[in-house]
Amino acid sequence: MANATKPEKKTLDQRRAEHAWQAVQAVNPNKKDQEAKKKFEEFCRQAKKLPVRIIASGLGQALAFLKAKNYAPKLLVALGDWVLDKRINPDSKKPEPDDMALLKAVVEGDAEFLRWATDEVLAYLQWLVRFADAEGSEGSATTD
Amino acid sequence: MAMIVPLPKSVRDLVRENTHLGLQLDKYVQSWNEELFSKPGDDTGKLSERVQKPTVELIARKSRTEPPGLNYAGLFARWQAVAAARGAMTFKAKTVGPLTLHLARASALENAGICLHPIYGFVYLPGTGLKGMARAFAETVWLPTQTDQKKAWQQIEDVFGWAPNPDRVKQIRDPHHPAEVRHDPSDPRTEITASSGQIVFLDAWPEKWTPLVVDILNNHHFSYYQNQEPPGDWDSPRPVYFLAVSAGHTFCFALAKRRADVPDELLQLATEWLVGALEYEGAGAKTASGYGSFKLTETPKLFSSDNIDKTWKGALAKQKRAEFTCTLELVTPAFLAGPLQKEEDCELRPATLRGMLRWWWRTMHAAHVDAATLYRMESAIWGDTNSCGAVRVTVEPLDNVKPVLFDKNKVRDENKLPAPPNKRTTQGLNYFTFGMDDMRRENGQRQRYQRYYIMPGAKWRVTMRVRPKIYEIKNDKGIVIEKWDLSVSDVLPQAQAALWLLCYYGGVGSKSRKGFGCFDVPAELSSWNLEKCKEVAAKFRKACNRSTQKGCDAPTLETMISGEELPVGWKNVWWILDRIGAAAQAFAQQYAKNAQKLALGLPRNVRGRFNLGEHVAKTNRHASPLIFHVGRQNGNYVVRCVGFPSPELPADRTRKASQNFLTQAIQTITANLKSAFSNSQGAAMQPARFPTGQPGQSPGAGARPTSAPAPSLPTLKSGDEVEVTIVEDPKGKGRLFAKHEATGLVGNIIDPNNVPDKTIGAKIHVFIHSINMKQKQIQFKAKK
Repeated sequence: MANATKPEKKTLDQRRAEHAWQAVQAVNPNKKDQEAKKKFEEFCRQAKKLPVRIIASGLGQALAFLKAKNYAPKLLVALGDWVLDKRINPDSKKPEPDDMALLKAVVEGDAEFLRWATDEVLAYLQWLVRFADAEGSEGSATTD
Repeated sequence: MAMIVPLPKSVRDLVRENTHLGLQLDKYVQSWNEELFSKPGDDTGKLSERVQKPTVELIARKSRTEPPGLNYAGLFARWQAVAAARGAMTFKAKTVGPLTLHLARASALENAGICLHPIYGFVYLPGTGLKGMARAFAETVWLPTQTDQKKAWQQIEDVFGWAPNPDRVKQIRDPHHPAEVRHDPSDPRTEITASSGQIVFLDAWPEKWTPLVVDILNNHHFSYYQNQEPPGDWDSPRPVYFLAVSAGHTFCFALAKRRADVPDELLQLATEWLVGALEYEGAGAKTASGYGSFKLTETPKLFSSDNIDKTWKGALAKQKRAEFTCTLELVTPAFLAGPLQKEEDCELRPATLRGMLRWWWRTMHAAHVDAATLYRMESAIWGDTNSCGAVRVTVEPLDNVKPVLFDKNKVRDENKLPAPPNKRTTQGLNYFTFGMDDMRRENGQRQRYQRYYIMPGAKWRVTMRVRPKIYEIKNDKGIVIEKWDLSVSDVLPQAQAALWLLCYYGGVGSKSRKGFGCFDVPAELSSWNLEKCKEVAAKFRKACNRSTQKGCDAPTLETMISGEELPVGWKNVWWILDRIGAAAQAFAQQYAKNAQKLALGLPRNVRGRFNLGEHVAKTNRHASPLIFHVGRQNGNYVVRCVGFPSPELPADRTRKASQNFLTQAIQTITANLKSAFSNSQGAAMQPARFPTGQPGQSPGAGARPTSAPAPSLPTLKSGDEVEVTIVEDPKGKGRLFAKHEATGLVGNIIDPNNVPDKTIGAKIHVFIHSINMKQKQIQFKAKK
């Protein structure tokens, strides 16, 4: 019971969820802005497809594809920010990296980093996809 | 700016050692270039050209031979041994057209995939897919032909198994559906809610190591299919490259009983369903475009082809399917091509034919419905990315399908085509075959680029198989709010009308609007005419419950301008095509320095003001609104010309301006042709000659017709105005060079800044700055 008064330290998974939630909220349009809504829908669609793409083609290929198509730049930014910074330094105040940061880290890193980053991205995407799913479907339900 | 595989360097260095095609396709694609992708505003939509095309080309190249150390024959023998040990019944079938599958699989490429074995990397057909297609055939084709529906449904369930899923629960509740609750035969009080299927569908392996080929899907109306914008002729095509297996490759199929006590009857039924599906409906992806057709080459033991015939005929009688077969015969040379544009893919691809059928089908409806409705109706008939179309088109080559290398000079010489009247005019044939035989720069060297064509007289058997379909409207949440059943008798006439329009007014392949690639109207469609097409179109809109509304900005039959039909007594088709080109050129020459010429289509190098529509202004493209057709009537040739007024040439939604200009164009060209055709010139009355144009052959006779002056190099002097084609700098120094086609002289343009269009291949008018015929030197000066 003594622990209940102390603020509990967040687990890694809770931190993933928190970051992913914020990433989804940052793209989720509050107003009835059709353009922003379309971008958000694309963000959700790409987030949902990303895990399968990573499993089929590898992290580097999946990120390169997203970047080439420019479907959801904010998704790439969120992944880079989490994997390269906030995952390791929870209190980091560094600004978000650009949308190619994670991909560059893969190309410049070693096989060990690629394995670790792939696991981390997949774990993070579990949360992001859940939130994108929930927020995305709510978004379309309010269109009328 | 080379692309790299986005992997750590240590792994990247090993990638070249890879021999597994599946890994190459999925994981080792050269898809990343930091510099290229970091440019803001860079056109990233070129993924297909930059990444996909080189990748599938590489895989096709690697697949030509078996990877070292694989020993496919040994693997296949093992597969046969496993099938035999399992007591499986095997049979063989050969691809009769292209085959592709697993296109839409999520990967780092878009729709490029094919199903490659995860361990060995060869192409195969997974048992899951075969089971699915056999079930679809059983339910939609075989079941309706059975008298005892309940027994038939039980047999389907016995073969494929059942589970307490929502679909089955719904089927059992539906009094019109033959599904029933299943009980244990030994204990009728016990319900069996689920059971595995009694027949095992094994993966089908190729008999030998099978090479892959690069195939192409060319979306000509991206914004229409993506955003339901009007499908005008201003769109730029977007090619997508993918992998396929070509015709003539044998695969081995195997089906086995789950247990020894499964009755033979079930095994036979499953086999017949699978063979029926392979032969009539197609396997894998893009079956509506004729992909995935198989022909049985080794029959299974328990099997009767009569049963399949009976089933198919029964399905036709019950209107579960409809079928139309006809023979298409080529009247004019057709520049057909696949992704390679070489001899091996100069063929009539069902996808090409379907694309043209879609275009002509839209002309029947575009005046009556908006773009979104047109898109929905088109999806119902011809399919979209979400669902298969109602019409499947297969094409089988019959006679005389022979690709010939196009050599415009040999065609001109051997057929004694009349020389142009003056040095400012190009040969009519060359005018209308621009790009089919010219010089291009490839790998830093100027090379002659020639396309192949199929000679007239080639024949194909075209089969259109139609299934019932639902026309549905969804709201923006994707919920169906309206749906109308379309029977096969609603759908088939749509396909027939489109085919008639194509054969009567249009053509296929490159230059199809210039009279090339025209078919004779097949005897099976001889009772059709324009009125009948409009009638069946109206009937179809009624079946979809679409009342006439404001149309969309696409070519329509309602605004089509028809020129006078011109019977031609000539026997030489090259002469006819040459004269059509010459007449069209003569008309365009009247507007040589007039921007109004843009009303004949873009890109075109003309200066001046012309009020283009928004789409054309954006793409700088618009296919020619005039379509020339050379057909046959009572054994003679006949020339038709139709115009489709455009709302964007110039920007005028009423299309009046375009209509007036095209009417004038058609009248002038028709009058010109009429007078040309009235002369029975010697060579025109001789059958056409089709020089092969293969290197090493002696040049043609070279004699020109007596009615025209003998060819001689035109006498040119400084200050003469000539038409030239912009070509590459022969030394690759980036200077602006042009070629004078009539003399073949190539020289630089001394004041390149005054040239408005510097695109290679652009035709412009310049003055001769200096010329020395003996030394074959020339320099041009741009017009200010």
